[in-house]
Amino acid sequence: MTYRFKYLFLIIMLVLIFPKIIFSETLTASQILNKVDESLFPDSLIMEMKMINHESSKRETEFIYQVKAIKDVGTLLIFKSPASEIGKKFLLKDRNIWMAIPGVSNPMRLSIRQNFMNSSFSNNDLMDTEYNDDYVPVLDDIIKLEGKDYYRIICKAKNPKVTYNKVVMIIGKDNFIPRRIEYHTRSGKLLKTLTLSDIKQLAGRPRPTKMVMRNQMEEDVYTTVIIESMEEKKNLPKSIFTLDSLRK
Amino acid sequence: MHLFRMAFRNIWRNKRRTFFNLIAFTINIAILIFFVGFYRYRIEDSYSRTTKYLTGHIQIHHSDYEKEERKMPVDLPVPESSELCASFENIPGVIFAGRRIEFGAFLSNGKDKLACLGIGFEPEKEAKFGVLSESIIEGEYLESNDYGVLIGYRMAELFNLKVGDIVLVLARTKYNTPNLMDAEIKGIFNIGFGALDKSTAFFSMPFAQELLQMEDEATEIMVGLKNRKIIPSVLKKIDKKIPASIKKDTVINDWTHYAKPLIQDVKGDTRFMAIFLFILISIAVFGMINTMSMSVFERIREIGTMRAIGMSRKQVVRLFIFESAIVSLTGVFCGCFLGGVICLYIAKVGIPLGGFTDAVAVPMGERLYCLSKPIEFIGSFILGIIAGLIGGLSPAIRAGKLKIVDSLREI
Repeated sequence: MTYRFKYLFLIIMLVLIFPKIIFSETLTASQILNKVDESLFPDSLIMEMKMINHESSKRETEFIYQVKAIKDVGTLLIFKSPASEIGKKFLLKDRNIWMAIPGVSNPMRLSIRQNFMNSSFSNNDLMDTEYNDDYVPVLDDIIKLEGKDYYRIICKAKNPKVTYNKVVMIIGKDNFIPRRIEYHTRSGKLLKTLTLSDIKQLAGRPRPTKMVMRNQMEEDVYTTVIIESMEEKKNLPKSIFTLDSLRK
Repeated sequence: MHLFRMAFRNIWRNKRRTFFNLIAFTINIAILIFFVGFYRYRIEDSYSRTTKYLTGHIQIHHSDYEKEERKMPVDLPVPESSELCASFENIPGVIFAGRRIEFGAFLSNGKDKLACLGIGFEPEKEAKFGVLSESIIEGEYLESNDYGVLIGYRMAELFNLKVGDIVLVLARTKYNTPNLMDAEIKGIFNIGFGALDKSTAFFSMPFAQELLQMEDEATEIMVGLKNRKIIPSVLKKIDKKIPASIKKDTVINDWTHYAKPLIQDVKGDTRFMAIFLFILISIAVFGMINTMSMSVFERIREIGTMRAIGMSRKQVVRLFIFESAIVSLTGVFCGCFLGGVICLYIAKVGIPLGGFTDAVAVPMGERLYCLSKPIEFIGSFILGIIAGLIGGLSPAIRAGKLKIVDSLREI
């Protein structure tokens, strides 16, 4: 048997014996990230969310808002509670965030430095979710946690202007749902951790319904986001994601 | 001389009234001298502390920095800052020319975070000028390449931090991205200025540059001088030392530009002080008017007699003016002496301020002292004499105008 035949035989044997491993692991980190996107939200949706800001070990504030979003077009948040925030709207579009307050004619452009509604999420965290654009993802390892396999993907910033220097994602190998996302700063230190859990059937597939964002700076201060309902809505008008519609 | 002797005898006829009048004058003049000295010290102290801790005497920034000064932008560095500093240090009268970076930061002990002003500075250079190095109450001052932090004692108390503890420092880099670094607490300072002691953290320049991703850049050049008087001449020399190629990208200002709130405070305080001193002088004047009027009223018959035996109206007026001059002169002398003693004592011992320094937006020491100069003694002396004469003039003129017959008829 020539060297070339030996090599071909080995490949055929490997494919026959470990088909699942071979094919599934040929996914690139970038492809995995695309699948993560799909696993979290449908391309066009309406959902109800609850956000709880744990401001100390004793104090917390709860917000309920509706989210309307079309992938690559925009995201609109409309607050339903508490009473003081009813009607407040946020528009996330083209890496900008705008806020409209009922009774105030012009929407305000917010700084990405600010925290979103005093939560552990910065405005930037809400906008900067296209990891394939700003980061170079690398499949670092496949790890086992509680008997399940997870991809560990390390996304390194393409340039120093990207918010986090490194984002480490632990992603379920079977469902592409992230379990934990760690945000590291330029110095290499971990700044924030987003934990996703409580997987439930939403908009036609299993999705995480609970997200907890923790900041390394404050032990008792964190934010929990709970998706109460989600519906895929293909006919959402694009016109709602404009500043004009925010003024109405 | 004859009138003067009479006046001197007269003022001791009603000892109690003269005594109280003297006391009033003495206290007024002493208070006046003390407050002027005290106020001068407060201003001088605030100015010198402000220039030492906060502003230096002269600052150089990027020309666009001022527009965004409130945001403390770290993406607008001074061009060629190292070279400029080196050239400024050769100017006579310059104690140091050091680079600084001021930035907004969060400090965390892992449990809580606190917003603070972060200052990256060159510790060895600033030790020649600032008193930060002398205000370390625990631990040690930073060295040039230390990756540590100096915090105020108030911040240490709030966070229960001590020397050797590690804190997390979060700041926005020049690319506007968050960066988090560890820093060991090297020293705890007590400057006596609430804003610094509670919410300012000092880092070495390499640490700040790494945290803010600023390579070898700085947003400020701070220049410390021997004294404030030479600021205008040094400003001109600094301006000449800046190469033409970067002149349009730099802006030079003296410390008053960065201490506008303090200057405004001082202006407000000066107005208040002027009103206060005016009230003091008015009290002295009215006190004298009251005393001399009473004296005229009680001595109407005596004035009539003096006029009847040949004393002219002018002599009567002069007699009363002499009386008020003797009282005010004695009071002013005593006041100057008492004021001097108080000022000397306060200049040596000081007045403890306790926690008061935290409540004010002006850098102050733990104690306030007096800084007296001969000018306030001379000024108070002249003012006191004028007040006495003004106070005595009106009753004296009234006494001079009395008719002899009416005066003698007075019971």
